[in-house]
Formats: sequence, C-alpha cells, structure tokens
Amino acid sequence: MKNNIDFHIPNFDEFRKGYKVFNIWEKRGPIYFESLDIISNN
Amino acid sequence: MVEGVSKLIRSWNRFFANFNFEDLVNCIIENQKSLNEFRQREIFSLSEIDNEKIKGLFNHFLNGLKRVKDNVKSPVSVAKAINLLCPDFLPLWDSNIAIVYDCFYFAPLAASPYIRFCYKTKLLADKVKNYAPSPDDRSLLKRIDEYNYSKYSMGWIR
Repeated sequence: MKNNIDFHIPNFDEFRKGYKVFNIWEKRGPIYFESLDIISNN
Repeated sequence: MVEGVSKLIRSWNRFFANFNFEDLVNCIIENQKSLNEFRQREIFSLSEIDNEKIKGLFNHFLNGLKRVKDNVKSPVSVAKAINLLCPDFLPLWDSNIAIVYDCFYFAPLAASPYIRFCYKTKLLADKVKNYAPSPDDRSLLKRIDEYNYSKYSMGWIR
C-alpha cells in the first residue's frame, strides 16, 4: 500500500475541537459505549 | 456479542437496521479467528499480509448485515460492526468520510476502498496519536471517527 498522505492532517487544536464537538452535539454517542460493554462482557 | 453489534447498528444506521440476526450470528462465528486476532491489535501493526483477511471479513459482514427487504448492503454498517469487535484495529467510516479520503465506494465492492481507508487511517493515527486525551476512555480510532464525523459528515467544524 502507498504511504502517501493525500488528505488533510489536523493540528492539535482542530483535532481536539472535532472530537469535543462530537461529544457535545452527537446525542447517540453513548450507544457506542453501551454496545462495547455488551461485547466486552460476552 | 451479536446483541452489542445489533444495538449499535439499529440505533446509528436505522435504514439498515432490518438485517437478519441469524446471518450476523453465523458471520461472527465463521470469522471468529480473524476477529480474535484483530481484536488484540492496533492499527499501527497493519500490513499487507492483512489485506486478504480484512477483505474476507468485510465481505462476510457486508453479506451478513444486508437489508432483509431488498438485500441492499451497507459498508457503513460493516465498519460499525467490525470496529466494535476490533476497536483498535479497524476504523469507522461513512460515505462522506470515504469521499474526503479518496476511498469512494460502491456498496458491493467496498472492501478494497475500505482497505485503502485503513492504510490512510493508519497514517492519520500516527500523526494525531498524541492529540487524544491520555489516558483515554476510548480507542484512538474512535477519536479519529469523532473528528472525521464532526468535520466531514456534519460540517460542525471548519
């Protein structure tokens, strides 16, 4: 596989802003962890 | 285990929630060996010897999660399922994210673009690995998806 970076690389602030906004605005976020727990416990 | 996958897909990708539960059970059983291996790994260890295994896994899940009423397949559902089972190794995507990373797909042929996306995510993970909280309560791949989703799927950040 090629190792070319042909996409945008965020800096620290942009990356942090992205995941923080997700956790504020995306209301379905907790479902991921509930699903992960079910799998981990099985 | 199947209940966990089912819960996530039914809530996140409701248009593809109507898959056959039994098919998903069989899919997980048939791919248990690969899933057990990938579950122990991080994306940084991805190499070309994994390509065929990932392709096979992806296609099995693509079939196992197809919509019952019309057999339409969802590469988004597949990534949600296999990421949940192998959270540090197999990344999440959706069609908006795939396009931005030049990994556009047609559903029945999405395995190859997904493998390409895995390699791009590996490169991205290396660049942003120190940007996530440490310690963190989730995988780096989950953080990357949260960033990608905010920026490319929803346009929440510029």
